[in-house]
Amino acid sequence: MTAAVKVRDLSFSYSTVPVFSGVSFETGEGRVTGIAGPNGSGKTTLIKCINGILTPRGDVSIFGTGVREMDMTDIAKVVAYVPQVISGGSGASVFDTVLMGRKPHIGWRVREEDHEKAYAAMELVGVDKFAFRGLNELSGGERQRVMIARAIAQETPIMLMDEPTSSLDVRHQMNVMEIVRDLSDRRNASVIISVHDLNLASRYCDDILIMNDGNVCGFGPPSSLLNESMMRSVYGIEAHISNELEHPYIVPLRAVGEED
Amino acid sequence: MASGLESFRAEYELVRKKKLFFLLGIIIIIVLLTGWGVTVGTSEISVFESYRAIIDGFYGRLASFLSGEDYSSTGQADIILWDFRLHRILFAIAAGFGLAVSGVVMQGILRNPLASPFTLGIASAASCGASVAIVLGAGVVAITGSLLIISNAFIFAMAASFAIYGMARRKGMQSSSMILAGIAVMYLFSAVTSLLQYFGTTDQAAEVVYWMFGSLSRTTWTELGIVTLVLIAVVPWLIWKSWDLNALSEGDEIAKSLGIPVERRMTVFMIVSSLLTAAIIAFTGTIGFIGLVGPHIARMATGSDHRILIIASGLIGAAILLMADITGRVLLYPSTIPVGIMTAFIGVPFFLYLFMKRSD
Amino acid sequence: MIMNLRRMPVMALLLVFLIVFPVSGAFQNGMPVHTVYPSGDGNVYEYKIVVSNAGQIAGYFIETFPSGIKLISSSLPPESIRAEENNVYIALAGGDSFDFTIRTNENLEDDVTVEWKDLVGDESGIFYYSPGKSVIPSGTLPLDSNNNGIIEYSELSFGIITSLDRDKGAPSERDLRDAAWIWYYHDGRPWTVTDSTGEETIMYRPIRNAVVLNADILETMRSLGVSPDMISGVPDSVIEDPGFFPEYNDKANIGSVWETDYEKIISLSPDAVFLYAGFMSTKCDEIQARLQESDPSIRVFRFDCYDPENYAVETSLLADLLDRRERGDEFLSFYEESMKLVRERTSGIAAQDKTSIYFESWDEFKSCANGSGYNEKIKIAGGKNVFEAATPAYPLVDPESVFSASPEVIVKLIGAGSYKFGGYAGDGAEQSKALYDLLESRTGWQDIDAVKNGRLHIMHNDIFGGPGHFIGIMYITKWLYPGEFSDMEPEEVHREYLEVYQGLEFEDFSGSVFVYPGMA
Repeated sequence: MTAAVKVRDLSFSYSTVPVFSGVSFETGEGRVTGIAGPNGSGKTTLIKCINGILTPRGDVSIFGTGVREMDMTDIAKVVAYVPQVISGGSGASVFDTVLMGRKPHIGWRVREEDHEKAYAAMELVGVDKFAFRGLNELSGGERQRVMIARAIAQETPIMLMDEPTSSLDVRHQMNVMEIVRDLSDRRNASVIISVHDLNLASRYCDDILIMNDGNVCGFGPPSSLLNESMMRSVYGIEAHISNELEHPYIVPLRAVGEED
Repeated sequence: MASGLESFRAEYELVRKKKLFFLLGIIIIIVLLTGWGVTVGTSEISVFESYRAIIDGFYGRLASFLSGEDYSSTGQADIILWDFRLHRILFAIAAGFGLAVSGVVMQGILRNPLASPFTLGIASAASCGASVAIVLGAGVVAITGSLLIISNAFIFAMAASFAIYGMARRKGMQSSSMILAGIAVMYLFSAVTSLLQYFGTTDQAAEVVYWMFGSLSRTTWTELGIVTLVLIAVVPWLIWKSWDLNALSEGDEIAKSLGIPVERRMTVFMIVSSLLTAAIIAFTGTIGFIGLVGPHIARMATGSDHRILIIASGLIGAAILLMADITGRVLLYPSTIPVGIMTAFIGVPFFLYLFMKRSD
Repeated sequence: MIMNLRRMPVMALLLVFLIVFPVSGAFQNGMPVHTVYPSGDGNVYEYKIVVSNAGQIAGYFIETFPSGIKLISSSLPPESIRAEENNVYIALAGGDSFDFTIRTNENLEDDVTVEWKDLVGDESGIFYYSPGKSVIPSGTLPLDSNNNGIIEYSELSFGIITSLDRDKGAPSERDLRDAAWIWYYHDGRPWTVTDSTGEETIMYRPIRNAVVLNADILETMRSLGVSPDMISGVPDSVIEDPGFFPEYNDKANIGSVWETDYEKIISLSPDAVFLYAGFMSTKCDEIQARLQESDPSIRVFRFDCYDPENYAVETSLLADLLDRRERGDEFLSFYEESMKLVRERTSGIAAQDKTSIYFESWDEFKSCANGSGYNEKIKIAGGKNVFEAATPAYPLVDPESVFSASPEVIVKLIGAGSYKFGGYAGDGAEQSKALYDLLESRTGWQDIDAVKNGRLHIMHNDIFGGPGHFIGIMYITKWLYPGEFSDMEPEEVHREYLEVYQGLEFEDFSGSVFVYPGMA
């Protein structure tokens, strides 16, 4: 079985400042991979490198094909992307924004089917109520959900999400993660998702990639990675790890050592 | 949840109809303005005569075209309508349409509501080209007519857009680098224009100022033809690519993730939009306000889906420019108020009205 | 402020006197009036003080000046007046008014205190007056050795003789020539001249070194026979027009009204600067103020010299100012002859019979209307400007309205803007022909009467804008009424103007376009 996303020896630097180097991992179909790590560890940059928004050194292949050999539209048909920072900029309506997810699949004309898919996506994340409101009239959390709806409407086997829960309250965090789980379980989608909340990652991700200072500190199922020594070496905290609902649960106790 | 989808569909239809009615409304306004415009001018020709001259002239020209003969005019009304008024009105529509479309494209790719071809220095480059012709080509202009001014304005405007492209490319085609390069270009060309005015005689400086006022007095059928051809070549392509504009206006990263080759598209859109502006202002002089306000008004009314926004902006631009030109001709007849001045007088109150209304 | 504080007790004292001692005898009609006539040249200042209403008293005045003074002359007998350091002592025995002149090295802006006493009525008092700043420059005549304000024959001849003698005290060449000039033209006395704004200036010397910022004045000066030696600075437009102003080509360039080179003007140390009067008046007022601020002795004269309405008046004032009356009269009779011919014959034409004309300046479809100089000239020429009633004064007209007005004559002006060719700069035939074809091929113009009948004309601003306007007016008149004016030959008038009054050869401009097409 070919991996959905395979990353080999990837490195990236902004002009001369290296962001990360030597990143390798792969994820299969229907798996949710969380990317975790402290601030500035290169999570966002790594995600942008996977679908070619940024051009890294090393190889990324999607279903066995190198990203470099694919053209933009082909990538867009298999990889959707949810950005972390969302401006209300252009003033497009929620529906127009979500409909844009259909762009890689259609020509100029929008078919009835596309409308339905966009609507379904809006309904799924619960933004159908303000379908015709402008994006700039919404709160940050609502915008984040609109972006997720667009990615869902894009109907791709692979989804890249850059901290999709950062602006959300607990209820909507759960809601979004449930949707992510659902996409992977029922539609067999591979989701690569960067998360700050390790307990969310622990509970919903199949694998976790932990990064620190541009290096991979570990990759594997949460239960094998999330332990006291990892917390100390990566985050510089002393933590108590318990087990809740069959997932590791991290209770931070205190910061140790010096901050970088 | 079928009922949810049903009510969504109903609302969608309602929104769509509203937009279509808005477009229809603007088209009706343009038709009415045209109907008014063709009757405006010397009092010697009545409203009725004006329309008769148009119809008679049309059939007369058609008949002679079909029979392959040269058409000879049938009197004063025919000449006034066909040689003076009609092409001017049509030119106002075409130019207003083109300037507004060009503005909407710029705002889309630069993701800046204040962007217009003028922000990028296209207009100041055209003014600079015209002043070079006026100040340094004094005497030559008499032989070539205004051709030297027109071609110079056009060449300078296009040169400016390529200069911006060249500069922005080195920094990666991003809206911020394009805007900065554009502002630099704008100030450079403005400075050259001022320098030329400073070294030119008072009369030459005055002529440059008049050119920059913008005027439709100089238009002819030929120029209308050229601008129409450019519109026909450019606007359908822009509408065809309106999804790309939609995606670009969401930001580079999102556009890339939706499969848009961002840098290539931005370049093409910028060049096309500059071409459209340059082709128009080379003939008319600076008409600045339409490219900014047309898209804004359209966006307030029809939202930001470029599939409809491009046409809506164009129609609003056409209506404003036509209105401005007609009032500029009527107010002090036989004197005319330059259309570039009138545009602001007509457009600003309308714009402010919509703006205040919307913020409620 | 110090002055005012010092003045306070004086005022109070005065008030007390007026209240305690009701005015009687001496100053029945109020205080004596002191009128001061200041003059000076920056080194020495003179003040002539005329005292009137002094009353029939027997008593004295003590006038105390702020600095040391010297008594120069007085209308009083010498035994009645005496000056010592700061004070002038005056004894009075009858006589209602008198005057005296003092000289000082300082500009007396501060108060002069006057103490007086009537010995008969035994009344006394103190009051003050202010001499004010001395602003009149060069208040002395050359060779006026007795300082009586007149160059007498004896003074002039003494000066001439001593200079022939190469005596030690011989006057300078300049003083001698100025004195002779003043003695000849002005009976040896200061004289008053007036410029176009009505401003009067008292002259103590003739103008020897002038800066001219208005080329139209320069052209008029040339008509009046002024020598180029008298001019040291000219505007850039004159430098840039060597065809018409060859003899001024090496003069200093002082810029223009818009960009004036003040430093250059000051460095030329002119005794007079000539500026526009009504044209750009705010700017010209500013130039005058700035020049006189930096050097109060510069005299500024304001003339326009382009407007047919007052050209003759201005020229005659200028002739007076430059002592060129004879030549001025000669030139004006030439000028008036042409203008009178035009005015007299066209004034008889009834309004409805006037030929209609469309006038266009060098900007496309920019015409003229009421309130513009062009329109005035067209009116003089007897034309009916089709856009006379339009606004503003220089309107951009709707091309359609030109067509529907169908004027009988069209005149297009060249010589500026994009049409900077022809005229005194030379040539322009090729461009004029191209322009003519372009005009003829304008939309609808083939159907305009003027074009159909070959009455479309191109005219150069050199014979329409400045002092040469009368030539252009004659051309237009002839184009408007070829039959009535068959005997008028504008080209010949132009030739005479150049050859007799401007010192130029008409043939030198044989290839230059002044009008196109040329007169048949």
